[in-house]
Amino acid sequence: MNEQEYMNKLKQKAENAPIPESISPENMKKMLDEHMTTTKPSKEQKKPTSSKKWLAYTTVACAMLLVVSGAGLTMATKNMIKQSETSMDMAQEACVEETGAAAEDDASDSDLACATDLNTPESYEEYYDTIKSNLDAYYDSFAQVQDSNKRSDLQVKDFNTSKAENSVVFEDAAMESGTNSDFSTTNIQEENIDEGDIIKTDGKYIYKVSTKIEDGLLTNTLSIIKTVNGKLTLESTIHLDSCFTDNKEDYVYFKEFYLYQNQLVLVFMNDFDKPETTIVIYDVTNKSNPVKKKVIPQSGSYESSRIHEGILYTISNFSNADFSTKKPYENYIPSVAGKLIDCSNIHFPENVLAESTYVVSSIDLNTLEVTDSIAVPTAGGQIYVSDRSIYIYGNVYSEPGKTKLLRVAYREGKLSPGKSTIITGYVYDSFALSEYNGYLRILATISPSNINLLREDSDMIPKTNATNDIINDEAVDMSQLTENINVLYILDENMSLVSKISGIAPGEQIKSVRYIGDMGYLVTYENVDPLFAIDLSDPENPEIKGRLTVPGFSNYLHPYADGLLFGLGEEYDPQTQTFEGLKISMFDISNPTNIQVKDQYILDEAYYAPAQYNHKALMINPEKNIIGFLYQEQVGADNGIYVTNCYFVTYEYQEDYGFMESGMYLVDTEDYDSDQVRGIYIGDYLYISTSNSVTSYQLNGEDAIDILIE
Amino acid sequence: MNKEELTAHVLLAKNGNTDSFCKLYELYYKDMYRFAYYMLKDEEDAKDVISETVLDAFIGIKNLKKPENFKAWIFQILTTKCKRQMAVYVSNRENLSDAEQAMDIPVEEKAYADSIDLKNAFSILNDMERTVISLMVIAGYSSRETAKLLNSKEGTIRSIKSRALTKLSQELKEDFQ
Repeated sequence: MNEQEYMNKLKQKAENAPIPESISPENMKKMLDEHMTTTKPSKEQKKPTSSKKWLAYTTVACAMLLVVSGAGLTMATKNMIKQSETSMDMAQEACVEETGAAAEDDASDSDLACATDLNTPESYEEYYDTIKSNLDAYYDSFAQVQDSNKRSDLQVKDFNTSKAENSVVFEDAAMESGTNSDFSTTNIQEENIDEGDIIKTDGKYIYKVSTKIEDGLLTNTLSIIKTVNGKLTLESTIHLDSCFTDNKEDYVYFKEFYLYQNQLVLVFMNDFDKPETTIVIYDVTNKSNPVKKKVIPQSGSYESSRIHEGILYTISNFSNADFSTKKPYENYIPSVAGKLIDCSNIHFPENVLAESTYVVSSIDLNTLEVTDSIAVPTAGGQIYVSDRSIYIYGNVYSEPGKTKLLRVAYREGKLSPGKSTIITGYVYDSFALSEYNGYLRILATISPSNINLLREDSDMIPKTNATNDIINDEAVDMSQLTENINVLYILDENMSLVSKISGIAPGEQIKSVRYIGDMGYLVTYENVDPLFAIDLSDPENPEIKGRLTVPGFSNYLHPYADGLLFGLGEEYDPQTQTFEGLKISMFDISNPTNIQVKDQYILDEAYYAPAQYNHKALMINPEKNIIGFLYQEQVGADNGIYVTNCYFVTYEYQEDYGFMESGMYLVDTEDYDSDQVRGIYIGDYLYISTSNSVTSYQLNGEDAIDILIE
Repeated sequence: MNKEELTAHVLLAKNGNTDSFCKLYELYYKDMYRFAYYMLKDEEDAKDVISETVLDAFIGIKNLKKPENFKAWIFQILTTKCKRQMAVYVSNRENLSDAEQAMDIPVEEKAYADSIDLKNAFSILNDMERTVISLMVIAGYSSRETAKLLNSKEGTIRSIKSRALTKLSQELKEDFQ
């Protein structure tokens, strides 16, 4: 029996459970009707006083407090948009013609302004009227349900703004050299672009978020812990659930935080009235007494953020605009720091139904003032940030199998929306994107059912055709392809296609990608398991230089010392395809045409490491020659009960000997909490942090020095 | 129910039509109940979270942007409520061992031996495994959709699923590999 058959069998079993009469649709209707007559939903509805109390309420009494828990609803819709082939065929017709473009003509920003296809309204009223008429037309189209063939005939009015064709021209920011201080930092994708996490250190203090259950509710606390040669002292704590609200009934979700100089930058999502992102900044100059400096709310549910050169960029999704009335503007115009986004920074969606509004803000962490804020419509919700652009990308629901990308240029806090494009295929994570010397490189996978889309992409014909382009290969009958294919796209800063390679590893699935300067490396897996090296130095002629076939695959790749590439992944028996454990590999990439495995080590007991899927869970520093991560192993007993053990393990890599295990530490954590475990080092000490404790060790030592239970 | 009908019912429900809302509810309520029942292992609590979910969903449906997402959306509300209830169990669990919980089967339920077996087998799963299996087996979500719902990674979900299925097959003494 395979997994799917077994799941079907379980489902059959599950269906034997009797359904109680009390929850039948008829009874629920009675309850709702009662609710309609007895309760007028209103914001002023009284809230229950204790968080525990609601559990004791009976079903009917729930109506009273659901106004409170109802606040959680809009959040529930976040990202719940499932890809559906039929979902947007109505909406497709609502597409606006490309009739104009925004006037990005603010003289002071002219060097940043991009060519863009987005239009800005003259006033909030114009924005309201345009979108409202679109929405009304859409909903009116359903008034006659029987007439299923009737299609809405939607047309957004023409915009008579002029098109500004300013290209982005700003020089590459000089790369700062890496820090030499001897402590670990969050493992990030792009150098000097910090990413938030649940733990940070400044080389003396550890700042970490712990999660525990109090009064039946999850609570988050940020602890500031002093470290002196492994000794741990708790200096102070910040209660995150109440750090910017006093109302215990409010739902506050801590997302991640940053340490910038002597400030903690905490990012939350909350749902007081509607989904909102909140940035809270604490001054921690005095470790025993953190001082709250600023609370900055931003409309929309949190997507991602980065810090670049002292400026925090925050991206949120404002998906709950309410167009029922023209005023107040707050209902449909997003705001940052309590201020509506300026009209000139709002942009019309091309398609009100398929796109949602993303808010991008920049906050100067030295002055704690909002530098800029814009609202742009696009599809997606996944974010990649280079040192000059923010890319918002994701699936296009009106066009299954395609990915839309919108570029927002940024510099020193100023934001300028650029062009967008749609590529065929889907992008598996942000490491598949890389911007380098003004070109965006993307690796995407196209499933067999969508391969024909490649040929239909008339606007996606590159200026030059790379030799490996499968659609130009007459010998390949596209309709005969039954497996995934992978495509490399190279786009310029106006999001026009420069070149592509569409014949990479047919039948294989991308497992990991890493770009190192002019080279791109990717690992695919299916039958054979190659590592490809792609030369990207000529953006018009990318070329596959070399490939290496090894068993298993790497889920994560990291440039190690010069000419070396580290991989963390899984090992499979080449004959039987049986899983044989986790594997760490070191590849010699000094000669791209002849990649070699320098060393590999198989952890045969281990079956899962959070760092395979979350780069922030990996501790790695080639300069210090240290690699550390948590893995899980499962020990089966005769009685059928499995015990999962978690270990944090550290390695160094020696040219002559290969990988050498330098430490292995049993970590006391629930396995479902293992994603919360991080290892960091400060000097010669290793600190292993779980959701409720920190344990210190001497690097390469075995015995715990100190434990702090939170 | 085809897509147009679904959309129409969602629109009507947005305007406070309880009939339409319950038509939508009728499509999924059995799966919703079973999901809650196996997650919480308690019939009364399952009934309560269903009622709460229905009220929440009815009040909140005006915020549902895409009618075709109704199922995913209402399951998201239900999942959140079940998880909150499970957190309450964890904090109350100290003096009640799993064995005692397993003994506590009301007599009238005995007729449904299969579902009781399954409910007990679910006790050996941890909260995360139970959530994943309930979503995938009972609500029929793919690992990708489950990952989205739980704000996790697809690979994590797949490994949790495999592990949970292995545990279940051991417990239910069935051959499965």
